[in-house]
Amino acid sequence: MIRALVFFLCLFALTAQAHIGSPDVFYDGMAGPYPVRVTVRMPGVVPGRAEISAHVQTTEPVEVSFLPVYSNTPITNTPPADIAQLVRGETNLYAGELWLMRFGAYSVEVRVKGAHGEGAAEIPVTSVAIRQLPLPSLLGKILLLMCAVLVVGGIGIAAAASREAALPPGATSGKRERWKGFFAASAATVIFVAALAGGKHWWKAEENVFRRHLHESAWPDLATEVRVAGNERVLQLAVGREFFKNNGRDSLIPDHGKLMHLFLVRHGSRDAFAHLHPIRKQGYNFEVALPPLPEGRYDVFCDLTFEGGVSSTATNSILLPPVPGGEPNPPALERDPDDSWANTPLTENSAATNGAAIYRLPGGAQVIWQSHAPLRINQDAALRFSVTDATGAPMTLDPYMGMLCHAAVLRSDGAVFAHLHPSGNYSMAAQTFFAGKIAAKADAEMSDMPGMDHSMHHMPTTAATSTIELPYQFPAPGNYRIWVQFKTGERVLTAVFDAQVSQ
Amino acid sequence: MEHIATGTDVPQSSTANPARAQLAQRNTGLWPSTLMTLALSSIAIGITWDISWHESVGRDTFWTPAHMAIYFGGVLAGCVAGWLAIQHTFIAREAGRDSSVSLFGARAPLGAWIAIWGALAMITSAPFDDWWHNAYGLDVKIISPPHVVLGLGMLGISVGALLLVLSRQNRFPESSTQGSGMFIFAGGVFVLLGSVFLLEYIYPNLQHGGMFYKVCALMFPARLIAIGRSARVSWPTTRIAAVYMAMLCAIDWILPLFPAHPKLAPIFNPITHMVALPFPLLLVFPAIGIDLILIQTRGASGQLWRIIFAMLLGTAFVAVFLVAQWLFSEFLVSPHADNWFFLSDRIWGYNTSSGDWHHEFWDRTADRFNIRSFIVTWVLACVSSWVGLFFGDWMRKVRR
Repeated sequence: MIRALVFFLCLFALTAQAHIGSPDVFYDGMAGPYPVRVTVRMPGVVPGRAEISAHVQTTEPVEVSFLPVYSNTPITNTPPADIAQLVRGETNLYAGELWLMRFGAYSVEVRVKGAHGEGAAEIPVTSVAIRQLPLPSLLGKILLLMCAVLVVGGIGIAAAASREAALPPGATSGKRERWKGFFAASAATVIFVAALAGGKHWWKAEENVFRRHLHESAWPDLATEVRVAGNERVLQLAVGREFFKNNGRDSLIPDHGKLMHLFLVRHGSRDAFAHLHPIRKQGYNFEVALPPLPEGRYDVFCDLTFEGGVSSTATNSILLPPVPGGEPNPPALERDPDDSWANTPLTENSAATNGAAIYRLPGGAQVIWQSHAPLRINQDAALRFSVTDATGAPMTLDPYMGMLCHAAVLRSDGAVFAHLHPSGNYSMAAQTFFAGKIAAKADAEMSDMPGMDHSMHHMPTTAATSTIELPYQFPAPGNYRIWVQFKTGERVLTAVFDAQVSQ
Repeated sequence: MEHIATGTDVPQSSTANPARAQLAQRNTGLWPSTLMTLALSSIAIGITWDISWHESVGRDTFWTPAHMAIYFGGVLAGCVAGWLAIQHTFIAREAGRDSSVSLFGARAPLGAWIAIWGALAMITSAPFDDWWHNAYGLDVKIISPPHVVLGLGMLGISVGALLLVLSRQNRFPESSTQGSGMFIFAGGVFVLLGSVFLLEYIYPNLQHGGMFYKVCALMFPARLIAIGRSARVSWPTTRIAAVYMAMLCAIDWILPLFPAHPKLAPIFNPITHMVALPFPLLLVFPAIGIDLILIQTRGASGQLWRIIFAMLLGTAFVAVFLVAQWLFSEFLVSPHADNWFFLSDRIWGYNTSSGDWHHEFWDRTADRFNIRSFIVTWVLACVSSWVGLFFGDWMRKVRR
């Protein structure tokens, strides 16, 4: 049966990470009547334990619980929730762990119960093996020592067994028994050597199986080609040509109303950026008309969400030819109205004032990254931005694909990429999937428990504001570039900042 | 027949002292044997309980009752064996030394040394298994490298316990059956541990496939024949198989009496009680055949006869076991076995989806039982029988 389970797991090898090198998931929103900020530290292996912390914005005593909801089982088949523990010395920070047993999509349900009622936040996460833990040197030495003791002891026992075990009391071993002991020791040596060689081979085979399911970097594979049609450059994308040969083909579902979110960043200088939404032509093939970005090599990042809530980021690079000249022709492809791009030479437009970084946009508007402490990994990235016009007056932000802000974070070596929103860095499509999955159960519980609030806690606030905050923690030290996008007055503004993150 | 043994062989080069032999006989070691058998039973119950726990509750800690039973068995066996080593090396009189073997200058009964080796292997497996979980994820299968190290440790403790009990039996006069009961019981537990190690290959739904018969042919003849050959009671192999069957049935019937709810997601099967292990294999039938052959060949020895007997025993095992288990598994996978006695509806854990596949044979195309797998099974059974005879003949002489 367990073999069948392993086979089933292999079928589920369509595993994912919604970002590159940034597996932890952050949520900022409501759990019923309570504002919560949640961090889910994802395990590197499957099954593994996710570490969860929830910061509840209240001074009243509350009960916080965590529950894993799996995408492919009925919502009624959930285990009992784990009660989170108040972190020692804190008044409103709760922590706990959850086992994620399988590859695929889970929702971590964070439930808060207090005097003002009860509610839950659904935070979709993708369970995937993303790293391989090295064998610590000390442990390796201890295991080697124990192995040597067991081998030498085993050989000695085999010799003693053959030499003396059958002797009657009082008898002593003679030459014949000593020879028997020698032969037994020799046979045991051969057996131990064979066992160790076989064990090493087996270990390697197990590791190969593990590595086949390991997604240390982006997936699935992404084929890219730029063709020139008239005076347009069209990017063609084919997702998972190789990957889907050996894995299930789940349908793509729209995230923020788009099947694919494509980010283009000019390689090296990172001074040109685009956030596009290619149109599906057939199956997993997409096309998009490229905006007037300068020629050069670009890194490509594609965010995808599959039916069932699994999300991933595929990458590649393209060599963008110069913008074709000639008379304007009718466009070969309709451009998505939410496509946006910018040439963002950082040094000319940004400056720091009183610890706050300011990015000046064409036309005089400014985006201000509010002052913050030096950035460290796995700590609040302090991504708080405000937008002002040329006179310094706050500008009202409009929702843009369901959010007041979209941001992308890229480390200089490309090893870390994340797509952020004010509600967090998870896939909204996956959250919608889980919200729909639990709706029936939630409705039933609401009828029994009038105090509960199951409102769409994940919906972004649309109150007029000029300031937003992005919940995020940098996963690794290094130099990062951050593109922050807002929409105001039918225009999408793109600001860019650099960040130095230390250990 | 090359040679008919007329008793225990005494090495030509050895000198026996009757007075010291009597002293050694008085030093029969009842309490170490009893405690070792208790340790062995505790490990066997603990490991079956632990598997059920993983299938029922899923989440465990260091302190689960099943783990406690395993640790208790390991610690008890280690302590008893360690004490025997200290006693025989430093404080025993000569009679005590006469029931021990020497290892790098220290002395202890052979069973004690093997149990110590087993305890060390179990200890080694703990950090290895912990790292393995962290590096590759929690195991979803029983047979993984660190679990094999743990299994070898348990094998060491069980063989050690078995030899300690056996040496006690062998120190009584050959006409006496004193000490044989404990040896037979320990043998049954030893077979049970072997079946637990094969658990993922012996589900009823796999019992029309080739792999099932191959692993059984490799595992069970050696264990049954080695213990049966060295036991002093009548029908020893049948008794051992009966102990195995009775013990596993008892565990299987008791476990589902206790409520249990899964604590890990995903839950494909919302169970409400502890999950049982599959109904025991019908080893008792081939064991009867083995006993009949062993009775006829009790005094025979010699390399050639050992090969002939091994082929005979292997053939008997395959013939009887194949027919019995093939037919019985058809019943076990049918809905008629979905009851508390045969347990076929109580062996599916929380992480196993429901469906018709519970009542179907698996791998019928990939793991077809055909003439080739039959021949492989037969060869493995013969080899396993030879190993059983080889060690059984040696075990008959073990006194230390």
